[in-house]
Amino acid sequence: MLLVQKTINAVVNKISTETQHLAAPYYNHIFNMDSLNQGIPKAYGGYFRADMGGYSLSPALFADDWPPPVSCAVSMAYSATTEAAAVNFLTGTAHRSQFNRESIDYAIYSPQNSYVLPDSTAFDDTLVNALTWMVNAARMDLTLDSTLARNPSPTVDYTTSGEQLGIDFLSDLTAFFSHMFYISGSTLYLLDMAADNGSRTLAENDYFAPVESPVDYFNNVPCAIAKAGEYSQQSAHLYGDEIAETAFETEQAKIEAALALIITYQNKDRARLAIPFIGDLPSPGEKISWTDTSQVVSTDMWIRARIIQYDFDNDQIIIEGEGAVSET
Amino acid sequence: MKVLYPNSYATTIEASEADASYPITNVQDSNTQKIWKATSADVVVSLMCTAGATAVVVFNTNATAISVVTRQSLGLDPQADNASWGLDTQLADASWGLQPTLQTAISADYDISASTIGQLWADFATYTESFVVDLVMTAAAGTVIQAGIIQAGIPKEYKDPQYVIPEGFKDYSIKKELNSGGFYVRKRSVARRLSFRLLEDRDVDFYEFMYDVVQVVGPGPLAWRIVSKNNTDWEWIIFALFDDELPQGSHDHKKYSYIDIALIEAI
Repeated sequence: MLLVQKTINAVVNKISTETQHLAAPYYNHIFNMDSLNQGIPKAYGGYFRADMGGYSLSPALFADDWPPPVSCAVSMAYSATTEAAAVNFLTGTAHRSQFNRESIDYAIYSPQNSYVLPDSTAFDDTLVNALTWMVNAARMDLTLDSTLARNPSPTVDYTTSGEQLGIDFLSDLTAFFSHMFYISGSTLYLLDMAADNGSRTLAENDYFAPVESPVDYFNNVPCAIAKAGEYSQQSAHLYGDEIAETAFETEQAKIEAALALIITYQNKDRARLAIPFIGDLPSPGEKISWTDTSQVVSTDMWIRARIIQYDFDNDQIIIEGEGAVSET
Repeated sequence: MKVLYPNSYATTIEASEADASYPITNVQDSNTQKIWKATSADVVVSLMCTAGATAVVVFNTNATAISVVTRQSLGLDPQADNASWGLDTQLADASWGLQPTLQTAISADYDISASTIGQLWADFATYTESFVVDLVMTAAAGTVIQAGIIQAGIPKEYKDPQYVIPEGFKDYSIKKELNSGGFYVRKRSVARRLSFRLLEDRDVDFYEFMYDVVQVVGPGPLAWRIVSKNNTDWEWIIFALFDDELPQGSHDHKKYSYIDIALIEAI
């Protein structure tokens, strides 16, 4: 069940899509809710960012607070059992987009780390150490968890040009080295794209049939050549597209190694499947495996979760990622 | 058929116990899911009612038995009649002054354990002055009693509907096909639906129903006892809105008119 706490004029209102009689009641003031999408920007890594459209609320919720406030703090959690067991998955701001006599619409924005990286900042260390420096209290003010980062960590040799948001810089930097990261609470988790952030195996009655949801086995447009600076790497698919990245290293061998991994992740088998809201929510980078006997030949697939879409209105979680498909 | 309107004769409502997150005032809302919760399986809810009320309804409750006790409020009753000022034990004709009110409470017991729907419609004799309705609610040990709606008022009574009376459900559950070929089902609310036709005297019943009830309350919801003349089954009681459109009338006879009504349970 979706549990939302929306602060209206300093009062916390507990609301949901259905009335929930928990330790405290959550009333069904949410008429409908856009999907919450979380994902990385590139097939080979970057910042696992939450992107939520918004929700429509009952005018009755604002009967004592009219007109509806322009901006409200909002937190969203999910629980299969009790309020105490709820897992928070978004804390952000709801900004009023429109209202009429039938509903109040808010767009939801996730918090932004506003640290700006100065011009000509030089990095000459490992990726993990670069992030350790970035999350320092004087800069992004987070704690780094690099348990699932690559070991040994790839080296960075790069000097920035112009000011840029620290979070955007980290997204490009980690993607170049085929890492992803996500922020939960005050911790930044850095993951090698080859690492499993937990795992689960689904039976065929654990996920929805294609007739109900967009279960797909697919591939990206292949990468033919990946370039960074003056160096490049080719793939076996020369009819594909070109990927151009900033070179965060200066040594040819290290750049080419990074580009080879980029091609690998861009060209991997991909799948998207939908599961019901049962049990634990999937984690970013979690390995998910299943067998699909509905194909002409029984098929095994595994992916790591790179894009997770919480579709509350249809009671499903759509998970997408890269992995490998094979005959059972 | 009875419909409870007006339904706001309970001026105040109190419970002998309540969960702080689920106050007793929740039952005065028209949302059946905005519930009051007690803290045990035995509780008394007291409604201070305006004179004239002759029925009380309870919806979305898990109580298995409810005793409806009506009594005038205990205390001192002003006496506007003969005799002296002052306090008087009132053993003869009345006097001016204040009289202890010791009227006998009237109690009726309702066993609603056979119904899993959790609702009560209780009629009672009214009083000429404000009075109290006590709902003594009990349930199995370990249960925490709750209720979604409690209203008191004056039912308007009409002829029972003509048979046939279609009855069914609107299902809000989610059912999705799994890759294995089975179904994932998440049970959500299932609302009852009923539709029926009344044949009423045009003047007064038809006009009263259409203009004093329907036009005033609009979609509802209201408490209904669909068949009331010779049937006390709880299944005929429903807290419902008009389904899609308001009732339609048809003046097919010189003195009588049809009213077509479709209801959907308020959940």
